Amino acid sequence: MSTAVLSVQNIKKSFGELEVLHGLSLEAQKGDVISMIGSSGSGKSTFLRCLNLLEMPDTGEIALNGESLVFSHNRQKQRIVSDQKQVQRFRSRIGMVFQQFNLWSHLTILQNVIEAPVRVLGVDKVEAIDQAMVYLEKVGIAQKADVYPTQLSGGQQQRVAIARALAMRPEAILFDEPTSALDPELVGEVLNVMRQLADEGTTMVVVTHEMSFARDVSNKAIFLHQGLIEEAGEPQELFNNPKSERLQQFLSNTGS
Amino acid sequence: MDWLLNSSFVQDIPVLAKPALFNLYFALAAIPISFPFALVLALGKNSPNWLLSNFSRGYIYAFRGSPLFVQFFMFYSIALSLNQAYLKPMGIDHIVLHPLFLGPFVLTLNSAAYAAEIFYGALKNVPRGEIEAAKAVGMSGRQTFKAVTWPNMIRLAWPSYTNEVIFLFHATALVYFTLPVINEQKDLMNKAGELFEKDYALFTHYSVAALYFLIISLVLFYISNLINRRLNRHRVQKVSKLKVRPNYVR
Repeated sequence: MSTAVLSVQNIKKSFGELEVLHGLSLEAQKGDVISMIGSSGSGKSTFLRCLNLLEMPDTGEIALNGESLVFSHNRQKQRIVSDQKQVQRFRSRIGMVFQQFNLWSHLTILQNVIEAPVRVLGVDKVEAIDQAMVYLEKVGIAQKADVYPTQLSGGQQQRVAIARALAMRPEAILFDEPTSALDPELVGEVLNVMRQLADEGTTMVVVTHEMSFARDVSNKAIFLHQGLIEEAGEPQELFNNPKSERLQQFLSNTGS
Repeated sequence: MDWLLNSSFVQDIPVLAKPALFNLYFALAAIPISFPFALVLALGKNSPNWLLSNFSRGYIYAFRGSPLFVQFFMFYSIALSLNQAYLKPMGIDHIVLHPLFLGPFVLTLNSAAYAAEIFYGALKNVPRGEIEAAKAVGMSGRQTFKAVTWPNMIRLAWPSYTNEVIFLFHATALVYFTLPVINEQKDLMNKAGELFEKDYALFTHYSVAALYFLIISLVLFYISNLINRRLNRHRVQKVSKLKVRPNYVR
């Protein structure tokens, strides 16, 4: 049996009294493109953020290419990761693309892309710049290398954010509603880049409202409802033949 | 032109040049220590550590909550009361009790509290998303601070911090109201007062003192503006000039 790139078991998460994730699991094999869909408040973004511990799950196991995260509890009975270094290493191996881009506003595009490889991986700066230009070329924005993020459109910023994630040569990339903050006419350019990555065999977990992307590009789709996986499977099957009532309702509401 | 050159206003200008240097000295001696100290206090206040956080809060409260004028008296009297028992035997009494030490010392402690509050406010306003992005690529807490938190924080704090520096400079006028003048080491307020006692031309002499404060403030504004522009170089909008509203009563 080949080990999954990303393997997540039984994630639960509460905010105060409210439990938002009721035990979710997910397994991404190499080259998988997994789409997570669901209405707002279904917990899909929280789940995604649990995958690289931007939110600390209350229970559950997470493993990246066979290496499991080791959890323990602190004196206040909160769950923590035993070794902070392990989390950092773990995060450096998983890319993340945010809804609001979250580029570092005081750095130029090029500096945004080389910052993490130089600082975290210790890559030589000259080499990092060479690599960064390759990734910027790939997302089609190399000519803007020396401008600041505020001088770019949302779609351009998001493509830079993707290049920034790629520059770490991650084993998987998480996308948190990457096109939700964009004007409709800019959505296409970002989706095209993501489609290209999918074709190249990048392992991706995508929270999205773009039903066409979920259906056509991903090879697994997960429908979340109230913190539970309501339905999962082949995207074609899921979209054309929804079994659960919730999903049928959701699809008819989104017009897919 | 003779009437102008002979006016006491113009003649005061060279007389007050050297005293102005003392005011400048008080401010410039205080800033290099109060700046890092304020950063430590701001980070302390933000710290999850109970002791560190409460110490910082208490310190900031104490120094912002009492008048600077009173603080000068307090530290001077503390230094005096420690003199016979500790300072003299240690041979440091002439340093500690000297206004050129005690003045910047109290100014540092006071200004650090105000600046700490400014930095703390800025720290709280660093865009959360940018910090999350740093965490998400695997940066440690220290790396995140260096790469993201610090540059944002200093940019956000800068206009207010400039205000604090200007106020600190103006507060140097208080030093010799509380501490003794040694030899001819008079600042602008002393010297203007001394000139006033000779001819009772209150307005003239203090106007010249004010002129020195204005000119030095102008230089400080200019330098601060250059730094502000550099800190905001990534922003597309034309950065508005710093607006400084000093609070004269504190």
